[in-house]
Amino acid sequence: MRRICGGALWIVGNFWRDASGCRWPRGPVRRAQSGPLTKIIFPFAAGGSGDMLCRQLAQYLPPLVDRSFIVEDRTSGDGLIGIRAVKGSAPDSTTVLVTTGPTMYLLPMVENQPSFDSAKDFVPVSQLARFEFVVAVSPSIGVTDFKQLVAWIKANPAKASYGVPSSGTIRHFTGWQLEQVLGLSMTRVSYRGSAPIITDLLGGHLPICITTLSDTITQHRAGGIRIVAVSGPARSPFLPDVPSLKEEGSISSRTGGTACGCRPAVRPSSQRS
Amino acid sequence: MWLPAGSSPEFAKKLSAAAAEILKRPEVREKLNAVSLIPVGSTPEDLTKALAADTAFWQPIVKATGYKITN
Repeated sequence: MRRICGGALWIVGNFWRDASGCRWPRGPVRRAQSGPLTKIIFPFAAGGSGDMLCRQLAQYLPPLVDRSFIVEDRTSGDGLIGIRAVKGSAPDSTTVLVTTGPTMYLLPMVENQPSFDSAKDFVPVSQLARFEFVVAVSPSIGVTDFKQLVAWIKANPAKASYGVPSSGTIRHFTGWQLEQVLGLSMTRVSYRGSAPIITDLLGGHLPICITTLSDTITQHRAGGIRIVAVSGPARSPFLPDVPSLKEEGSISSRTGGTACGCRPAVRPSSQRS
Repeated sequence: MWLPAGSSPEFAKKLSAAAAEILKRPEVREKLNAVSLIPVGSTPEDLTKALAADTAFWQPIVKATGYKITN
């Protein structure tokens, strides 16, 4: 979810709309909105795909619910800060939380003392959009598909490390599952965000990563790194040529859209439902 | 998408229906697809079910890893 250039794109987008629509001296671009104000709290950085989703909602919701909306990005703590900000807010329709599914079910599992209970502290509204995770490799290891990657890991156990953008996340646990299913051991390297992972993959300092499709697809299309599998149960509509983990090595998986996230998982075939 | 505990179920339903409608619009779908998001949209009940299914699926895995963060 962490993207670097997205913020710039958003600013350009605003500027463009300003130039085509609003007239000076009306100030910042704002749609005519009426009704009481509702804040959409999003616990990740502005400019990413989730933030863009929130801004689409803020733009189109007002006439449908007779309220105006603003988006507030409350980052840090892998989602915790934003979620905590909404927990205990006045239940008067002035605060809405949009977050990824995994933050709502994983954080209470990994926190020593869970700081929220998704079922008790929140009222569900809607699943919004699904995003996907991928396994991608550095061009330096000369691997072009998932089967070759498995062979490479077997042949290079000492070098087999995979990067994830932070620990205690779906990417981390998907990597762990992959190790179990394949019966291979790998070293997990926890990064701060996807950007340094992509840099290390391109530079040949890291062989493998597990992160979001949106963070890797540009470099994949440019031929810089290679996505060898997507983690959903089926192929991604964005990468129809890349097999899913389910197709590879009889790993079964399941996925489901949540708040703005999903449940992409590799699952040992013995646990298949 | 969630509201703080105690929020009116009517507002949740209204918001949910509005979001689902927005997510069907071609111009919104196009923008979300451009950032690799697949629009879904659902009822509040579906989100509750998804949360329960996700929790049931990941709980044993997370437990098996033994991973915890201290807060």
